[in-house]
Amino acid sequence: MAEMRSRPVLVLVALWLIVPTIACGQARAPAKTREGNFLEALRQRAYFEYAQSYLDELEKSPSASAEVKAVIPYERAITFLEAGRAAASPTEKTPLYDKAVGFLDQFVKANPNHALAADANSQRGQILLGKARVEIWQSQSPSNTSNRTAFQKAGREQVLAARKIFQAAHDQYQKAWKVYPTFLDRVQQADLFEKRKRAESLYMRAQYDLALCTYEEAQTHDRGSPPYVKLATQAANEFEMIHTRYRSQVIGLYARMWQGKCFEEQDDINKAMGIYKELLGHPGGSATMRAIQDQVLLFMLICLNHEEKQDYLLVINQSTEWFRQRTTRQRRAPHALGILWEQVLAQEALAVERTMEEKDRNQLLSAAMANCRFIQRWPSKYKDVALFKMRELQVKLKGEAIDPQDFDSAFGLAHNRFKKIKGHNDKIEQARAEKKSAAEIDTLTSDREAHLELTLQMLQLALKLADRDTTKEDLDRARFYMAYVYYQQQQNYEAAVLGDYISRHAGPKAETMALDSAAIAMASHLRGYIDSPTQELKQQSLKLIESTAARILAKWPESSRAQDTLLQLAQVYEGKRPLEAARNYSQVAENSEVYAEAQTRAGQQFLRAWLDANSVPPDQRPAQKDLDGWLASAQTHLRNGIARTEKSTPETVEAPELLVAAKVSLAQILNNSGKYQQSIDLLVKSPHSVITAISVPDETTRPESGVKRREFASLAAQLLLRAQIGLRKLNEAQTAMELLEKIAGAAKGEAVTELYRQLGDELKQELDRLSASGQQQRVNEVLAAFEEFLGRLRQRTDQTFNSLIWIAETYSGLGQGATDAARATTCFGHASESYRQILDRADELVSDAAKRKKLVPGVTLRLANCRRHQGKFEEAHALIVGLATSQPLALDVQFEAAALYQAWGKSGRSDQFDKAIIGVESERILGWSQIALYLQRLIDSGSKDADRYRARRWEARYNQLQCRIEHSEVATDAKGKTDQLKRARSEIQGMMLVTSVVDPRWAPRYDAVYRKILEALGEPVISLAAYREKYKPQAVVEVPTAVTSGPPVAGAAAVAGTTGGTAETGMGTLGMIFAGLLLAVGGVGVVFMIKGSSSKKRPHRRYAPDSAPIPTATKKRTASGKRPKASAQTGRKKPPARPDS
Amino acid sequence: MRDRISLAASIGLALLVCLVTTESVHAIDQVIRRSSKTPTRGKITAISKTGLTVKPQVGADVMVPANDIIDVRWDGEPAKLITARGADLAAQFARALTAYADVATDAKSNAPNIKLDLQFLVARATSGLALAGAGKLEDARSKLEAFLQVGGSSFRYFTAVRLLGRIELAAGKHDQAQAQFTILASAPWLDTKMAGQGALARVLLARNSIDEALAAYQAVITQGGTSTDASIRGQKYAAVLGKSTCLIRKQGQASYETALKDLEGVLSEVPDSNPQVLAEAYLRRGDCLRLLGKQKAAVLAYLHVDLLFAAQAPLHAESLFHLGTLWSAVGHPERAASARERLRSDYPQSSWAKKLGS
Repeated sequence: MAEMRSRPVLVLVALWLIVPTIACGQARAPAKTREGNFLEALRQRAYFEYAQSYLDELEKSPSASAEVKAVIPYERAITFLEAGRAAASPTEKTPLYDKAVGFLDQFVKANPNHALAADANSQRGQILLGKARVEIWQSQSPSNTSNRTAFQKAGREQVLAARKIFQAAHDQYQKAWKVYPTFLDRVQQADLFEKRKRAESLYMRAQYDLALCTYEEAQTHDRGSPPYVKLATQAANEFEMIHTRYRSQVIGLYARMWQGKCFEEQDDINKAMGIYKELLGHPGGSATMRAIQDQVLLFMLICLNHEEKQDYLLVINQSTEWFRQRTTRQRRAPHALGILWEQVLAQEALAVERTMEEKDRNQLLSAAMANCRFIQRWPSKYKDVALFKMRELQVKLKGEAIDPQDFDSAFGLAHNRFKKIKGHNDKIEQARAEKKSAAEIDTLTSDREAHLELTLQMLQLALKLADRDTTKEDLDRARFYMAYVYYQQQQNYEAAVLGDYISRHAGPKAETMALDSAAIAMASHLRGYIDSPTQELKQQSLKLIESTAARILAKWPESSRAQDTLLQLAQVYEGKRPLEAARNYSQVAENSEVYAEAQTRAGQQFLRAWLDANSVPPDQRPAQKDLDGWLASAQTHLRNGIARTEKSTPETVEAPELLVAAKVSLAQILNNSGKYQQSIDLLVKSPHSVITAISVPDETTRPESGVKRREFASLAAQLLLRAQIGLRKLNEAQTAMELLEKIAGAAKGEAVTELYRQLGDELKQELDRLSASGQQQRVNEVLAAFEEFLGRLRQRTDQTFNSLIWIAETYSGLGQGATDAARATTCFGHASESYRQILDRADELVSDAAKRKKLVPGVTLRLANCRRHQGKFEEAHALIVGLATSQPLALDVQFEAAALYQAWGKSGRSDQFDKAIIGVESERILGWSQIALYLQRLIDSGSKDADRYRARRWEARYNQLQCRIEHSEVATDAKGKTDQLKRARSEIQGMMLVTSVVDPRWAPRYDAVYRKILEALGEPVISLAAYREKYKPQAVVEVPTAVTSGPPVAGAAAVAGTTGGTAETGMGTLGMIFAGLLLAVGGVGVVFMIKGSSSKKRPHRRYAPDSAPIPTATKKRTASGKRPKASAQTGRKKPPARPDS
Repeated sequence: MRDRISLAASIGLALLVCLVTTESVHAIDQVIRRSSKTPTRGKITAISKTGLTVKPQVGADVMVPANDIIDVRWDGEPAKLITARGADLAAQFARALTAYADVATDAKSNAPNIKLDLQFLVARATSGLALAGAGKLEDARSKLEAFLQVGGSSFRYFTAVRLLGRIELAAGKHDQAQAQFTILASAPWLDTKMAGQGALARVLLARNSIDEALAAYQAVITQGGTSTDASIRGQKYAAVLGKSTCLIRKQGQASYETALKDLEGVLSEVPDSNPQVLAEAYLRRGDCLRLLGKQKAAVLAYLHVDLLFAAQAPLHAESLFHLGTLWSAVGHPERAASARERLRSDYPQSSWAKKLGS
């Protein structure tokens, strides 16, 4: 009885096909030329592509008259329009309608005074109505339940636009008609009489169109909802009015039929049938009347087959009688096949009734089979469903026990099994929802797996039994099912290969299947990407994802799957290729359900790209114009996302996390550009204030995720503090600091200290960025604001550990960001002073001895760092050797020590370079090369921090190369110079030979270094990529990565620091002094934390790999562009929230 | 409603006219002519194989040449004969034959002229049925021969000769066909002469004498010159079609392209009121394009016949046959299957259906 359930869709299809026939039949000028007749006939046969070919021929033909040529765009439009009406799926309809509109516009523009110009305008209204129907269709699709409202809204907008056109036409035609006197003598005033007749006809048509608009508008609401009932009743009344006025005319009768339909759809079957009976009993015998009655009979049979009636016997009798009276040719007309299809449904329904004897049952099923065979022979929309029905009937007749001997039987069985997959998935999902025992779930899962396997076997058998008579479409469908089964079985390669093949080779009639297949391929590749154990395999999967996505986007740009694809791609790129992620997010259509989120994420990814780019050395950065563009885009998209989310969130409702995250990102941009007040407004002002959103009643119990988690909350407070300092509102800044301390202070460990260190670090980066973009005035403004604030803070006598750390870190940040060497030295001096104060007053400032013991080495390290920047290498050396001796395995100490020797070497003591590279054993200092080896060992040991170590290894190796270059630069003899450069060349080449994938964040830097080395050696300069291509390394299996949660800029900061100090790396002091928090640097941290916070709330199903389409079995020919219901995904391995996390 | 009223009024008016006419004229025959929309009315006073003499109620006798006569409505003929002839002219031969058989039982059909004409009409419908592939050629031949034995002086003579020639040709009896067409070519009217000569060319073609056939068709075309006479132009177009067939049979790209050019002329000049010529022109165009490997364009040409000229039964069958294979070639096997299905279902006796095999 699946057909019964899908009846509304079929009914709508049937109805939609009638509307244009009436409407167009009355409005369009009769096609009198041979060309026009031929085109009309081609369209009636649904040979649309040949109609277009014929128009191409006419366009080129020298013998075609100018008159014929002039209407070619109009005819093209009508052909596209009819093709759109006949298309099986919304995905196919929309572009056809768009083309129709385009050609109508072209025609009207070129021929404004043509007799068909008015009609062309009216056709535009019809197209809008057609597009509205597409949206309505989408909204009624079970797989679009989640975004039903969006489709309904879009449909409503189209209806209203159509209504506008029809209303204007109505008023115009009414006016024109009213000009004529009521009485005209048909003979004496023949001319006037005809004109009035024509005017009245147009007026009638306009009224009819408006009533249709009301009907369609009703469809844009949920059945049974108050607006639906109101509009459906109104439509029924409007149709009735038209019928009352023009009951003797064709349009009046059609209006009556529609009135019946309105009742039928409100489940008032009796009333509907009353109207249908009245129409069937109409005495007229004209061809038009017969056509109406045939159509009405079809509707009545649908009513009789309705669950409420179930008068199957009557359906069989009436349809049989109708057929008896028709000629052979009449029996194969589309509506006749519709009537026969209803008979099939009635026969099947009657056959399966329990009281039916087997003999009668088989007789009925055989008759239904014969009918299906007949339907299947002739072109109509029932052709395909009849074919499937035949297979089902065959199974019902023969049973499943018999081994199929032909394609049809095997495919029929496979089809039946295929339909049951969803049931299995639903059961598992339900069991999980009801928290059934693991054993129960396992049993259900095993059943499902067995079912999938048998389905697959049956599909394979069907394909084996395929012969010459098997149509291509059936073969493709079998393969499509197979792709889906493979996907369900987690066999990604098989699913992807089949999906890809079908998406490329399915015929034009199977556009929906092709798109769904492409989506299966995409989802399979995504899953393959996630499951890939190595970076190299991930890269390969990524290429497949990209090519599949490119095809979906190019071939079906308007489909909802294209939107999904954009989101999927963006997710894959997120974190790795932020710019591409941003661009994909930004392309998500405005009417998409996730538009606000996509806009926000686009903004965040643009911001991240900007931050990443700013973190690389200035000579390797993209053009400033590009950077400015990215930042502007970030701002625009964030503002869009915020505005859209605000709009849909009542003021009284708590701010959605997405909104809070977007505001924080935007605040960062505003801070960066000195728009501090705007930033404060964004963070503080209601509605949906960020500061309110992050607040909790008890600081000790902050949640682990979401915007209230400690890291995010402290970041928001940092931004507020930054903005207040920017405005030099020192009291407010003080309050913000207190808030920050309150948030971070409640955390275990030295969170506040870490926060202040980060603030200083961010300050340094901000100054770098401003300086790099040539905003010296802003640099001075920032420096002045901070110096003023810090100066006042330093005056205070009641300094605490935290305030001193804040002062020290901020001065350190200012020192690193200062472009003026003297100013930098002063800042580092102030910083050192504060660190020294902490060390001197440690007992007083930190009473807890254990805590003190943990803090002192960290502060010492920071002091050593400042001393290095001040050029006080001996003092720094003494401090660092002390640390290295006591904690030789502390990475941060080793990094600082190597950086110290490197800076010392650069200062003129070239002998120190070697120490920077190979270390000093007696001091237990490793040097860059040993650090890299040590990190490699950690990575190879399978550490959970492998990704972080990997980034640091890149950093250490890079610094080693820098050491060589710097050493060569200060070397006085040529041999010494060349020797260092050759070593550097050999080291980088050796590294490339054993590295399968170069971290994309480091690749440009390594490339630049490599070029520099070659250039200095006077060798031909080639890129590192070219070198790698030449000596391509074998795939080296890396430890599986669970995606870097740390931002790339962490490494970048360290690199930047190498020339001016290495130990400022974002996460450098981890495990040493500031253990506990893993907050990333600055703005990147914002992006990262937003990901973390919002991911749980995000509807992953939309663009997670599990969004592979489910080919709907009973409506397979019409189920285009549908996304699967969440329930159907049950039992599949849930992918991580996003591929990179 | 208004339509129904006006229809009723028209019928009423027609009845009235009928009554008035019946009262005022005692015996009136009506000659339906090709050259005029209104029949020539009066008493047929003389009949020969070259025409009829009609004596109207008023005015001088009118000579109606046989080549201008479509049909004659005889005074006092059975009313059902009108319906039967209508079916015949609409190519519904089976229905027409049933109706003629019914008419034959009417005593009014025993009038000599009516009886003889009815014999011809039955032979004509039988031939139509046979040529459409729905009847037996032998039946048609025997009926036509029987008529010619008694109707040597009938105005239907040349039509019967022509039909017999076609039947012989369809049966593959080229000599017999040639004999009939030679008689036809001796007719006193240019259009009939041209028809005869065209038919003789067709016999040559059937004998596979393509060059001779081509020359013969060219001669007919030349004969037609620039005449504006519809009938002569019709024969000229038919000859162009024949010539195209010859060119197609000759094979080669140049031949096909020449044929296409000729056919283009026919298609642009022939009015829609001449569906048979148009249908055949589209068929030949389809043939040329198909042989040139332009399958899509060929489909379009054949589709013209399928969609616009389906009433031209034998030609429609031919178009369906070609569509039955071409649709597959252009990637629409289901349409091909549908075309074949229609060919089998609608023209089961046609040679084209037989070509399909089972």
